[in-house]
Amino acid sequence: MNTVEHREQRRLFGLRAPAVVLVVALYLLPLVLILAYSFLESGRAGSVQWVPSLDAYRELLRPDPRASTYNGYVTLLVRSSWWAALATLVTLALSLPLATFIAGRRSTLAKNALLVAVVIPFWTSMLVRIYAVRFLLANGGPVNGWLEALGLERRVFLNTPGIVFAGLVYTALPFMVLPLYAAIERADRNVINAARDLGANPFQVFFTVFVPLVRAGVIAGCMLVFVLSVSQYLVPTLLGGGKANMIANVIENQFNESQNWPLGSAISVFLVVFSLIGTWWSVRFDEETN
Amino acid sequence: MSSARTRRAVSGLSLGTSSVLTLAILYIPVVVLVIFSFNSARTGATWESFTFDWYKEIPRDRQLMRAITNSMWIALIATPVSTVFATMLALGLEGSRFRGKRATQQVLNLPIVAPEIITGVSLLAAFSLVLRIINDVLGRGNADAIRFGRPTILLAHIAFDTAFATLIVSASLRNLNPAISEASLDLGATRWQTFWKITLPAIRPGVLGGALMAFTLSIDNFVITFFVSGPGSTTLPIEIYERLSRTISPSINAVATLIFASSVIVLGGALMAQAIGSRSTVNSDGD
Repeated sequence: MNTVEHREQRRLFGLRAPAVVLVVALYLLPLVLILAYSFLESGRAGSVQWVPSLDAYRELLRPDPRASTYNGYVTLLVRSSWWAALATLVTLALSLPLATFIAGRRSTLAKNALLVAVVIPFWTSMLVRIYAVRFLLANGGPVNGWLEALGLERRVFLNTPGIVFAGLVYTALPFMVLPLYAAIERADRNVINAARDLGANPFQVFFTVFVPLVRAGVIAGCMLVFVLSVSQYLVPTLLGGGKANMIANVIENQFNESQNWPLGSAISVFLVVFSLIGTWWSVRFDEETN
Repeated sequence: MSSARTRRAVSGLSLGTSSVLTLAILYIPVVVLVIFSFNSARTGATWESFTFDWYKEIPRDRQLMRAITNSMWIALIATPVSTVFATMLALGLEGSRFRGKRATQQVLNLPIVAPEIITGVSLLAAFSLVLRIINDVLGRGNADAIRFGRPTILLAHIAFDTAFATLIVSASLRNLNPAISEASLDLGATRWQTFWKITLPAIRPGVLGGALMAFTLSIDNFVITFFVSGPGSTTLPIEIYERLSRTISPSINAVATLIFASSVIVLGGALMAQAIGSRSTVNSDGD
C-alpha cells in the first residue's frame, strides 16, 4: 500500500470514528454488560453483586408452582414468539394486496399518493397510534358510543389477549407494506405477463412466479415485523393492561419493580439471540438472492 | 380473450377492495382521534359540539409544557450532532476498503436491528454502572450524586439518530458520481473545498432528510427514553404515557393530534427535499 492510499484510508477511518465509538459505547458494550449481568447474582436494591452465578438461568427455566397452566418464563417466551409469528402472517396477508396494488398503479401521482399514505403511519409516533386504538375501543370510547346509539350493548375490547394481537398487527402494517412494495417494484413484470400468456392459471402465476420473485422482500418484511412484534412493549402495556403480557413487559418488570437485574438480563439475552439471528439470516439471504 | 380480461378486472377489483380495507385499518383510529380532539364532551362515547378548548388547555399545563421543552431541547441538540456524525460516517464508509468492514457494518446496524426494549435496559445497566463509578470517584453522596437526566437521554438519542440518518445520507451518496469529486481534487481543490463546494451541495437532500428523520425519531422515542430518563427530565412521550395510567383528560387527544400533525409536516418537508434533490444537476445520471 503506497503512502497516498494509506493517508486516504486513515482519513476515512477518522471520518467513521465518532459514529463507531458512539455505537460501540452505547450499543455493543451495554449488550456485553447485559450478557455478563445474566451470569451474576442479584443485588438487594436492584443492580447486581459481582458473584458468578447461574441463578438467573435456573429461575428462567424453573416451572412456576403457582399454576398448572402457566409454566413460568419459558411459556411466556414461547407464547410471545407464537403471537408474534401469527401476527407477522396476518400482517403479511393484509399487506401483500396493498403493496401489489400500489406497485401496479400506472399513474405516478396515484402511486406516490398511496406510498405517502403508508409512509405517514410509518413516521407517526407509535405511542400516538397505539393510544388512538385505545381511545377508539375504550369502554367509554367512540365505538362503544356507536354501539349504544345502534341499540346494542357495550363491549369490553381492551385488556384482552385479542386486542393485544390486533394491536401487534396494526402497529406492524406499515413496516411490512414498504419492504414488500420495494420487492414487487423490483420484480420484472414481463416475467409475470409471460407466465400468464403461456397459459399459467392465477394460482400458478402467484405461487411459482410471483412469490419466488418477491421472496427476499417478503422475508425481509417478515423478519422486521417479527422482531418488532416479539419485543413490543407499548402494545401489551397500553392495550393489554397487564392481562396479556409479553417478553418486554417481563424484562421491564425485572429491571424496575422486581429489581432482579440478572433475571431481566437473562430474558434479554434470549430475546437478542432470537431477533439478531433472524435479522442476520434474512440480510444474508437478501445478499445471496440479489 | 375477453374472459381473461374480465377475470383480470375482477382480481384487480378485489385487490383494490382489500387495499382499501388495509388503509382503513391504518387510518381509522388516528382519524377518529383527531376528530374527537375537537369534541366538547369529556368522554369519547358521545359527540357534543366542536371546540378548541382542549388545545387551549395545553399552554396552561405547566407540566406538559416542561415535557415539551425537554423533548425540544434534546431533539434540537441530538439532530445536528447526529447529522454531522452520520454524514461523516457515510463519507468514511463510501468506497473505503478495510479489514473488518463487514463486522463494523454489523455493529453499526445494531441501533436499527436491536429491539428497543433491549437497548433500553442495557443502557440502564451501563449508565448506572458508569454513573456509580463517576460518583464514587468524585466522592458524591446520595444528596449531590449525578443521576439519569437529559444528558443520558441525549447520548442515547444521538446514537440511534446517527444510525438511522446514516441510512439516508449513504443512499444519496451512492447516487453521486465519484468522478466529480475526483475531478475537483485533480484540479487542485483541497479536501475541504471539495466537500463544501461539490459533495455537500450534491447530497444536501439526503443530509436534510437524515436530519428530519433524526428529529422525528428523537421527538417520538418512548421505550429507550423511558429507561434512561430521570426525575425532572420527562419528555413528551413519557409524560403522555404516565398520564394514560391516571385519569385521562381530553387534552391528551389534542396533544396526540399535534404530535401526529407535526410528524406529517416534517415528513412533507423530507419528501419535498427529496423531490428537489432528484431534480438536482450533479447526479450520476449526469445531465
